[in-house]
Amino acid sequence: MRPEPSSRLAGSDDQVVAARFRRHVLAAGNTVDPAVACREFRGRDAGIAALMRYRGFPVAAGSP
Amino acid sequence: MWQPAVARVREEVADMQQMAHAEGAGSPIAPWDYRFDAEKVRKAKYDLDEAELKPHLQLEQLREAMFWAATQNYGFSFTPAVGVPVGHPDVRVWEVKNAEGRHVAFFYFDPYARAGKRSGAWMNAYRAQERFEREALAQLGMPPEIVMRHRLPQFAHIFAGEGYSAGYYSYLWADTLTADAAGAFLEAGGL
Repeated sequence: MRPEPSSRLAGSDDQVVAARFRRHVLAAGNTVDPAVACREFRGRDAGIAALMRYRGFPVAAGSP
Repeated sequence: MWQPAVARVREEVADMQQMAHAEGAGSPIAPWDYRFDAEKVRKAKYDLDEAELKPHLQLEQLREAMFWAATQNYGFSFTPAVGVPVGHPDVRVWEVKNAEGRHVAFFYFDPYARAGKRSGAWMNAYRAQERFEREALAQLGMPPEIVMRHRLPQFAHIFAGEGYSAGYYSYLWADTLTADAAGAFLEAGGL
């Protein structure tokens, strides 16, 4: 039942996104305005579509 | 937010209507049916047997999964740390190393409730990122003789009593940012 470290269940691009996330959000921490950190990580302003989707609301694909 | 909310109501009503038809009730869903029928749909669609989920959600499994994700995404490795002093026998410590095998941090795992331990979700920073504060204070012309006496987390009243709704908004916004960040992984075909 343990996750097997050698198998890659995660998508192959996870590490690329993770590196961006680490650089712009995790490492930056509170040294930059979070809105700026999010924008640099995502390439756009943070939006509510993802949260709505996770909470079960139908949101058109591609809306921010 | 309004449009997704309305769209969700339409989905719910469609589910209710379908169930009503299946039960032989032909009439359209009326406002006074809504809660009753919504509960029936919830039971039919989402009444998961928690006993089936529990084996997958054991604490050690979740900790392993967390370590696994950190290894996959950031190249961190975790080895049990020997001889590190802990505040309670329940506390376990791992040494975290980066992909080059260099020491990054110690991870303290202290998941159990006990007398004298505060419950709830909060965090303390042991190693502060102070550049922003330093620059802001310099810009304000803060006399170097005076130390910071209050930082934002110390204003407990923002999160307590009547002002809590303002605090809650920040939780919701934090949730929004988290979901948006997770969306970046999904869009890249991961997670």
